[in-house]
Amino acid sequence: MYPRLTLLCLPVVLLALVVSGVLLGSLDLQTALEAGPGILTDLRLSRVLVAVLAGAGLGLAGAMIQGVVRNPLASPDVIGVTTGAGAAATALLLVFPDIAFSWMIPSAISGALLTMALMLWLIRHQGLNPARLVLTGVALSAWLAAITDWLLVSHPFQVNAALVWLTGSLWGRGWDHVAVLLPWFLILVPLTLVMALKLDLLALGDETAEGLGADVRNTRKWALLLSVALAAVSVAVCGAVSFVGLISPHLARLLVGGTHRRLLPATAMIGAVLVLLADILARTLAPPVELPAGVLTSLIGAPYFLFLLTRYRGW
Amino acid sequence: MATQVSLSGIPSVRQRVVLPVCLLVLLAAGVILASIGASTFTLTLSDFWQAISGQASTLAAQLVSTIRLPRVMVAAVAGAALAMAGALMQGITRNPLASPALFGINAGAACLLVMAQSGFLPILTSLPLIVVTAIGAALSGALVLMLGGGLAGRIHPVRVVLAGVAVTALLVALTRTLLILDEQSQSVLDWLSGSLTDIGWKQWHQLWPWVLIAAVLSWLLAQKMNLLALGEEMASGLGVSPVRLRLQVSCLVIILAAATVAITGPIAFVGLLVPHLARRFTGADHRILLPVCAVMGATLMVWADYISRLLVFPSETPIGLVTALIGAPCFLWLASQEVKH
Amino acid sequence: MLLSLDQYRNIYHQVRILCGLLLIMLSFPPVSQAAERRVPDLGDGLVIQGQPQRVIVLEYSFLDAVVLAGISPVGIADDQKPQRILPQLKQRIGHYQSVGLRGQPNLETIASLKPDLIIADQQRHRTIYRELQEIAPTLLLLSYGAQYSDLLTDARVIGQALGKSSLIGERLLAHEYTMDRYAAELDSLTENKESPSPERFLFATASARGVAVHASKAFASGVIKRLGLETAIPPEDDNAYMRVSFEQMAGMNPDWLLVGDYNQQGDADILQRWQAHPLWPMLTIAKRQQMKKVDPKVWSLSRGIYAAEQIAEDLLTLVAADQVAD
Repeated sequence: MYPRLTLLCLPVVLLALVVSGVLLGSLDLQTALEAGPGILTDLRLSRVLVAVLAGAGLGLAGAMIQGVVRNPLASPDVIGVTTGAGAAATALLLVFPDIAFSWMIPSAISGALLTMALMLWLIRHQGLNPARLVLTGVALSAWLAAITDWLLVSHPFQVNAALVWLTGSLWGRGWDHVAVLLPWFLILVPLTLVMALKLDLLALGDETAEGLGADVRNTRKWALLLSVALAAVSVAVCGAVSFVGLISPHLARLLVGGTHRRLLPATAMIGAVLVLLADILARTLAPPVELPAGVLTSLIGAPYFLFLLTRYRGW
Repeated sequence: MATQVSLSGIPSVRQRVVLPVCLLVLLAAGVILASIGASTFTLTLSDFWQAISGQASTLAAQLVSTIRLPRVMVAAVAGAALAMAGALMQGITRNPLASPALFGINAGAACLLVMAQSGFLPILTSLPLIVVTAIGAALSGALVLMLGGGLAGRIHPVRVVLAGVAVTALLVALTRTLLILDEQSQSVLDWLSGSLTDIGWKQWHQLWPWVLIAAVLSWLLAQKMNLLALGEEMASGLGVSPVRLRLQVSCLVIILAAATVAITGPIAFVGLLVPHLARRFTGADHRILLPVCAVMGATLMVWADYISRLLVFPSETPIGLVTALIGAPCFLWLASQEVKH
Repeated sequence: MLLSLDQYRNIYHQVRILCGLLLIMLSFPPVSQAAERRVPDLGDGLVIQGQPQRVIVLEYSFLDAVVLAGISPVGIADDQKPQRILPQLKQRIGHYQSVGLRGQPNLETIASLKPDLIIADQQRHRTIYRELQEIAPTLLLLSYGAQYSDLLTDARVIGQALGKSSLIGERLLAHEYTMDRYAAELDSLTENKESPSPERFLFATASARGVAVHASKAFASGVIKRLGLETAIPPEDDNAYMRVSFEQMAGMNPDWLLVGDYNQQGDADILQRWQAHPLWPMLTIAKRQQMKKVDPKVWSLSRGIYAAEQIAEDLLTLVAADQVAD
């Protein structure tokens, strides 16, 4: 349709949501303002920013994985990467309950990378056959989820905190999380955007891409590594917010088409919009009690995934 | 796929003799271990014999007969039920990955059970547990099959599994929310992975009639399922209506899964794993496959029960976790082996 | 502890600076060096001046000390179930606002109440300690899984934080005296019995899904031991709470089982099942009809000075009634 126009509209929508994310909360605006500026700036704005960053990370990760494996059903959660990141971070949290938050990110990334490596080893003979990749990913996440559950059961004391986090929640996220997240994003996101150009070449088909001078294998490898890292960083800060990495690239593709130069920025913004929306709902539906944002994204995302399944023709 | 459903591989004499003997020995060993092992009491074999023979005189023997035996037997029957449900599902869908857990049936039953117990849907609270879980199992199972391609009349093996995963994600998210709002995070894990703590003869009596009926009925349908395995046209030619058969078997699956979930909670991977193991020994004839599955499922669960008590002794680990820890790698292996394009 | 404390502080400063540069919106509260008190806690240590008036407590167990210091908290994480607060405390608390679940208190509500002191639990609220500190000085203490002795220390620390050390100190002395008195009375009651071994007590909670024994590190067990009574918990155990099956209960075989039943109507399903169990009559609690219902909010949730005294009172009443019956 009008990809450029849409691309311009998305930041407006995102900004509008950011503003409403700051204005809306468990307290109405007037009470919040009367209580001083701290609620809006310290609590809401920081949390909104975490949501934006995490959502953008998950969206980008999903778009790149889908670009690399050319599989509309792939995403960090479907292929087990987020579960791997979650398992590693949970293990760290349970074994060293006093550890500083900044350690969560490296541990989540290493967990995600290990999962990815295991995954690639498991499908080494088949190449990246879409159905098989997804199936192996589902099986891998089932196994990692079992390990995570076992960790939780054997450490009953920390369960309460870990469980809140595991369901994908932005509860209690603030400026210190923004500060830890931001450097990672400042490194990873520009790299991703550079990668976008190369991914567009890949989309022409392996032979054509090589003919145009692209190093297909390396591009794939780096794109995959980057997406795994992005997903892991997001998981480390807000747990498994499910299905965002899956559905935001699809929505983006509907809006701006499949060119990665446009697709990646659009996906990042849509991912941010989704997580932000889920978090706003989580905060405002039943105050002062909060729902996990991950549950809300599941409620939207799972039906969409099912819809994709009924449309997918590549069996 | 084709190897899964063909009737090739008539079991050799060695398989016919060695397999049942090995299985029964394993089952017996598991039953004995789970009956007297890992206890704060010192239980001995003689206590076990006393309990079995119904002449429990000492406290220890009574302990075995009133606490351990029903638990072991529920574990065995639940394992048998889940394994048979898996075999039946794999038979009618011709999908090597079909099983109560992967098709969202366990999650649906558990979700409705939590809804009933937390008073979220008051109508459910007044119904018997097995009815509640059966409704949940049937609804989610039907949804998964529909989304897996049932609407178009052609159920695709991978698609239906992915549909099951998505539906399970949805249901687990709902269940978790209910439990968090109920401030019961400690028991979330117990709920989401089945447990055998405090199972008594009462639960046993609630469980076995359903499983027995479903088992007998499914064995009666076994020959028809063999014919269905030859292909739908062949089956209709031989007087078996594929649609009717699938409907009948689905009902049996729902009864088996619902009865188990109502008593033990959702236990994963037994239904997936056991039929595959069994098929390696028996071939695809459902008349042999189903009983062997039942025995193997029972054996697996009894051993899992023993392990679940041993892992963090004296506390207990939910048995569903043990089966997931054992079963998930097998699922992983199957996923990388069985799905040929 | 020292190391992680340094780490924390380091990161905290980095974060502060970064945020200030990035967003220029944090203002440091003006700090006067005049009347500052340092109160050691499980976090960074609390630096506070004056006597805080607007206090928020994020666990029931901190309520006692706050109320005893003559302060009515402005916010309580009460799981949105005000009926879970001890009536003795409730009548001394004015209007307060619920700040949501203990496991997940609502930060916005906390901030809007403009507290000058927040008392948080190390287990449950460690993950939001920084955020709480941004809102108000925060005291991080042990509550979930804390022992009786920890909770008395908590009360003393809360007294320091509130600037009411002497008041709390006096009350704690009175508490010791009260507990000694209960212990003596219980002792004289149990002395009369000709039973060869001392009676063993056990407290457990029952809910829809199971029974959890409060083991050697739990509050109730600490109070039972403080009163000079024996618990039925196996000595090798070092947990606070332990999920048990009937078999394990039979293994402990206490003389008294005190059950805090969370079920609102009638017995929890699991207790009915236990009572219908064929081995039930073999248990001492069944033979002597010494499975008694107690209030879970006293025995399990409140975990404070009042609760300890109420537990002692409950125990005395139960044992005395038993004497009369004999």
